[in-house]
Amino acid sequence: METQIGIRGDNFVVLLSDKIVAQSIVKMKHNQDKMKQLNKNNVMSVTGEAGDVDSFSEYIEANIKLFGLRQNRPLTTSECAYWTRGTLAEALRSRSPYNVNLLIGGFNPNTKKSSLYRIDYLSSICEVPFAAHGYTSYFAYSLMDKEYRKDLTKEEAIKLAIRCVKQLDHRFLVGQPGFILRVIDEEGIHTYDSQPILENGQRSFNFVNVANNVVVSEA
Amino acid sequence: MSITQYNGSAIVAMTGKNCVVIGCDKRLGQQALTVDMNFEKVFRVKDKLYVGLPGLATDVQTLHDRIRYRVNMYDLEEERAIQPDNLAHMISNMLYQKRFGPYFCEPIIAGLTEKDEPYIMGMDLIGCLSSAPDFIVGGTASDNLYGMCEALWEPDLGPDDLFRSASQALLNAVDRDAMSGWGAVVHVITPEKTETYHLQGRQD
Repeated sequence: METQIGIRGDNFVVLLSDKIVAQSIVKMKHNQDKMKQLNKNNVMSVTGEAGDVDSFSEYIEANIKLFGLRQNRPLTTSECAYWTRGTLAEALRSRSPYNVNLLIGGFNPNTKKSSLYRIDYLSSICEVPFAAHGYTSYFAYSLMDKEYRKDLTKEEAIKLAIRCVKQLDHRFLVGQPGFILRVIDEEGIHTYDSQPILENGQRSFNFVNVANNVVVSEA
Repeated sequence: MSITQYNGSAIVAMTGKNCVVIGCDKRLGQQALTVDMNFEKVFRVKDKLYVGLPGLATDVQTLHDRIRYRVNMYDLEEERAIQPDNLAHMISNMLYQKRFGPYFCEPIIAGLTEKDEPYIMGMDLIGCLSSAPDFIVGGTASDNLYGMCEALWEPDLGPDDLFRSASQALLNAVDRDAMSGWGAVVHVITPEKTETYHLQGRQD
């Protein structure tokens, strides 16, 4: 029921996730940030079983930060992703596996390239141009297949994410009222919050940059 | 549906005259949903020794990591290159160590021996080895591959003809399997060199 989307451009990655924490049919929280900032230019978005999400993502976040401090060098995106996969895979065959789905996106300041990794709860990893998890994938993948280009600009990628969210809101039985979107690029991590709008009687979303209130809309 | 069919895969290994071919499809799915179209399942162990890992993607990756570790340790301890039959028994042993909680993967080994004789070997998910003089197949498209290989394989094919037979077998097998496809990779192993070909398959 949770929404998680990732889109990679040449030198940026867009990650989007919803903000709902649900227990059974009840929404318990409406403003949960489901992403963890692993270091200066890597972000991980996490969905899955409530307890597992927190304990696993905090463990990963802390260890990646610790590595950065000890070695005086931040982990690259692929290093973050593969170390996370290893940890999840080890737990998979233990008595307490974690039921979490992950997207890890980031920018490598040395190569000036971005990358996006998709890891599912079985801990199979793949490096992809765009990704989604769970029910979202049934709605978002077809749209991203159609609209994705290698030379997508940042604005176009955000607009594509908005279109996915709009489709989801329109067609998915369990619609979500709000989303958080992050863009990871050379300058660092930019955070956007969603703002519902009415467009010809149909709900859509604008995304507002939290730092400077700049609005990105689909139109 | 079995967990070995969760991600979808197709792998084929064929013997020829002083050469072997091993190939795989590139799809990674979650049941009917395709997630990645560039997921290779055949890995280089040595220049003339490859291993194909059809089955559950997470175990494909975990096993590949563990095989790489064990082969590197073998190199350091024995100070000689590992031979195909050694690798087969090493992997078989690794799988049987997990007899009651197995890796859901049925490895296929293909390579040339010290005397440049073709070697192929398959095994089940708990490491029961099975050899064949002609070809070994695996993955969700294995039924289709058996039919194709049975029709296309001939004894003593040269590298070019063998590449053609294996490629046609693979491409036509995955076209009738919904769980595998999206192009293929084929490695042609000869005493002189190993060449890798990326095949464009049906993209639907």
